[in-house]
Amino acid sequence: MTNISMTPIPQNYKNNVDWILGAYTDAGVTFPNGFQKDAIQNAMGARKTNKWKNWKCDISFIKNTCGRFVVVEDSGTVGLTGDNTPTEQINAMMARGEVLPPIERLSRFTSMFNSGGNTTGGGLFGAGKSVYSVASETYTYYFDSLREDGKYIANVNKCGQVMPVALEGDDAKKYMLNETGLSNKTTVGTRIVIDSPKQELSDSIVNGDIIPYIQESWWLIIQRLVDGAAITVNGTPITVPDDIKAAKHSFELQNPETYIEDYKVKHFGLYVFDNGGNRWSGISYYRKGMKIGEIDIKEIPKKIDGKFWGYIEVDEHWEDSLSEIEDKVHFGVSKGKKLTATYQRLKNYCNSKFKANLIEWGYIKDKESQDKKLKDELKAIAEDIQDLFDKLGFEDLGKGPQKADFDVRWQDIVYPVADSERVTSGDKISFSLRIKSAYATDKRFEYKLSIVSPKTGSVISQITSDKVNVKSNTVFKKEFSHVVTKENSEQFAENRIELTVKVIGSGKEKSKELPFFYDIDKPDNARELVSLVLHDCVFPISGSRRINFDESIKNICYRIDNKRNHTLKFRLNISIHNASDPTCPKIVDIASQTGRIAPFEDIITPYIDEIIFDKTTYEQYLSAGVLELRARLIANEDDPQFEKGDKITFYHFKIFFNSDEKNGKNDSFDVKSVVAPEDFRRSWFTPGTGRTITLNIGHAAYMYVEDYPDIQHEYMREQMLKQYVLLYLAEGKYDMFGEPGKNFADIEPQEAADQVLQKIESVYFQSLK
Amino acid sequence: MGHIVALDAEGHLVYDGLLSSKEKASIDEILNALKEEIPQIELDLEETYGKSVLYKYNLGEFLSQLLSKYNISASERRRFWDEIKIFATKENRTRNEGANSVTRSFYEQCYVLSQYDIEAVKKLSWRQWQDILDRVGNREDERIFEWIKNKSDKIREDDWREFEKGLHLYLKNKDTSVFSDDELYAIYDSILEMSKYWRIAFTQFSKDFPNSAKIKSKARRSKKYQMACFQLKRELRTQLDDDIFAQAFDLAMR
Repeated sequence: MTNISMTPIPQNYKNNVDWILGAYTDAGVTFPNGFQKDAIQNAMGARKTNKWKNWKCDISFIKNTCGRFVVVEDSGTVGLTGDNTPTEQINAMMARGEVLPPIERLSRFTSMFNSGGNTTGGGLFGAGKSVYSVASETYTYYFDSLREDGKYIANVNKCGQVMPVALEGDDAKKYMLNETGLSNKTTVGTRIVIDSPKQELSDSIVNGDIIPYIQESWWLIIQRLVDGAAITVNGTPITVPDDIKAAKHSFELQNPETYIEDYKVKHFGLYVFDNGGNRWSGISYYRKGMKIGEIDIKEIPKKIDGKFWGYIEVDEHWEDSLSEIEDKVHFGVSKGKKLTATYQRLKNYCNSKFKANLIEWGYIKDKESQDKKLKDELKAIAEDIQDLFDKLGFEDLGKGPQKADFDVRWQDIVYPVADSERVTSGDKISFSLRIKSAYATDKRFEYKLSIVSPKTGSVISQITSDKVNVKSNTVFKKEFSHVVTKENSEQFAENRIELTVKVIGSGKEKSKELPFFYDIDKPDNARELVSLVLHDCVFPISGSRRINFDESIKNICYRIDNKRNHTLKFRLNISIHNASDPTCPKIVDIASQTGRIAPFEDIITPYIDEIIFDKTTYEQYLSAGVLELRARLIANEDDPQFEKGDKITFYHFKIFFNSDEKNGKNDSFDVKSVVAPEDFRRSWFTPGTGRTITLNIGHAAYMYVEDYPDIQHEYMREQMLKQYVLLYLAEGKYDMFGEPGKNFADIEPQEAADQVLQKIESVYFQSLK
Repeated sequence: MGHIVALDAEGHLVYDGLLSSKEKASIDEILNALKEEIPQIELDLEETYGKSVLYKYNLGEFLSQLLSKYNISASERRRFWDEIKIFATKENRTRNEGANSVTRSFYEQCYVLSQYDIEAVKKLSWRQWQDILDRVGNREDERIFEWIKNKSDKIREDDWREFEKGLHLYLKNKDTSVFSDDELYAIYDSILEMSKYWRIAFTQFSKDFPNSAKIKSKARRSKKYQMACFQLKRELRTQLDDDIFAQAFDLAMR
């Protein structure tokens, strides 16, 4: 084989080191701040042991006949130890993949990318000595070192070019004097002399602007520097400002604290300055005594926003895992790494300590626990979801009587062609609106009639808008008509006449819609629905669904909403069942009513005066437990949608017989949260009595979002929506699934699964509108 | 109350609640009476009626007296029947009766049977009665018993099984309370006709195509046939008739 000579690949040195400037910018720090951190970290890493005795690091600016220089000099270190190996030989070693051992400091300093063997300290992946190059306008720095073996050496890095072998002894002394005007270094350690430093850097050293950066980054180390050790700027030792802890309220962890297994906090401090006299702000974490970055703190009371600072130092194991997610210039966490458990734990610890102290100091007055807040949030979401389901036209799952303060209805609806909602230009749709007020006082209502596009939700035109006074317990009714034109409606599309009625001064609002299809046929998938809800039902004790032997419930009536353009002839069968028995057998028939409902109208069924739970009848079946008042709506005649005898829908309402209601709520479902990290499910539901949706707040997916209120809210909402849809499935309310004309219970499993998933997606999609 | 005993996993007698020795003695007395009476009555009835439906009907009447005598409530019935089954009878009935529901219990079914008109009872075999007693939904509208009673001929076992399945399918989405007696009986008749048509048409198909693999999937095709019948009826808004049966059969055997 031919002996071919090889050489390292030519590189653009400037480009190789300029990333540092970008990294500082990305971290939001100035060059002097970034520089001091890397320079001091390099000096710290050169210590012989972990002790600080006699260690010094000085950053100075010098101007002489040879030029302008920034000098970084350490002493009490070991100097650039190791063999004075020619660069050609170092290159050959590197080409063979060999790693220069830490003891070969001179060789490592004279080459690049050779900081192996140092896992978490300086030089791990930081700017290292390259920072000296970018600090120079000419990318030039000289360095000399008096080593602990007494040898004196010097070399230079001019834009990536170094002397193949470092100069030694007198040659080195002469070289340094000639090039920098500086005499040789006389203390054991290393000196870097940066040629033509950036103005920003030299100015910060001259005017002392660099000092606060050093103080904030290194105060934990500075306060440990005794026995002649120091960090100095222009020869003046940097001290820890004596007012950093002069706060109105302060907390310092007295002893190390184990947060969770294998995660120990060594130091934590929090200082709140009411008057804003704090030098630093936010809570920062420190690693190896050096400030890294700020922790995200949530819920900062306005009163102390920007008026506190704090710090945390954790044990070596935790520091090691934090170092893995650190950005390259040690100013924070790498992009996308904040979701890691190590950072989340750090953040959670700081947040809990922060909050506990703020409660203690009276900045958070209500002292409500996280659980309570979560519960409130869940309750709000639950209400939101139930509203959404109402809007989407789903029957509720039996949340109890729905008698409202006011009632809005369509009446006397006449489309141009019976049993069809198709219209064309010039066609007239007539209807009446009816507002019934059940308020104890007279109320003023505002109503609006508009044509809206269901696709976009936007208003195409307005029919009318007015305000009316409706006296207590009276009805307001008015006739309207809409003549369809291209100007007021969207041709070749579904349009809706939307009625909104607001109670002036209360914020309550109700809306109703009436669809029409302008020069298009009604699509097959349009939803036709009849819904049934319990409208009124009076129990012996207000607010409780308990009933005892020989007591009765009174004034039972249902509301049936015929949201179709067909007259509904119905029969309503009402019975009581034993819900404590798994098969829920019927105990007694209560009533059977028949009636007729015009298109798009709703009715309140005739009142059943009383249902008595007499001992003789009911004792046969149960002495205590749960009963169900069941109503079943049946088609009493054929119509375009239903066949006579079709079960249209049902409403099951639980009654607690000789026993107390378990949750005391009238809502469709209760929400619970559990910490179950071992459970793979993010949420689940429990159907039947005490219907519940449970959120697993110990799940990793939840923990990722729990600190981002907006995302957390959406996450919980999505989970609850999903479970609410599944509750409908579990309780046999198949009407919301499947397609018209197809019975969900009869379809194939794959198709059924698809339809359930689609329903979940569609409900979620609707909820975002 | 509290006169019923059960067995635990180790075979120990389990009484309801904590009982005094007097209460316990009274319960033991009932248990002993059952142990004595049930095998005897079962033996006597078998001698008179064989294993026929009238054996079950008369046993049901006897059980009905026991319910009154020992004041057994509706909610306690299943456990009472279990007590008889475990401790009293000498018969070994292996049919799975389920864990909770009273519906499939042999003694419950005898008891329920005894509540109906004997003329209706005689129209069906015990096997046929079991079908209808198992399916609560099929007898939710009790007018079915009147219809059975008025049937002039006995219904073939195979037709009955298809009828029961068909009725179950029909009632899944239906509540018959809206129908008059005549309307309802016409529906029952048409479902029975649907079942007969299936038997005849399928037998013919098996003769015409003896090697067809479709013969092996009879149960599945029968369900398909019934579903098609009801779907066509719905679409055409008419009663079930031979035209619908023929169309549905074709669809089912495709």
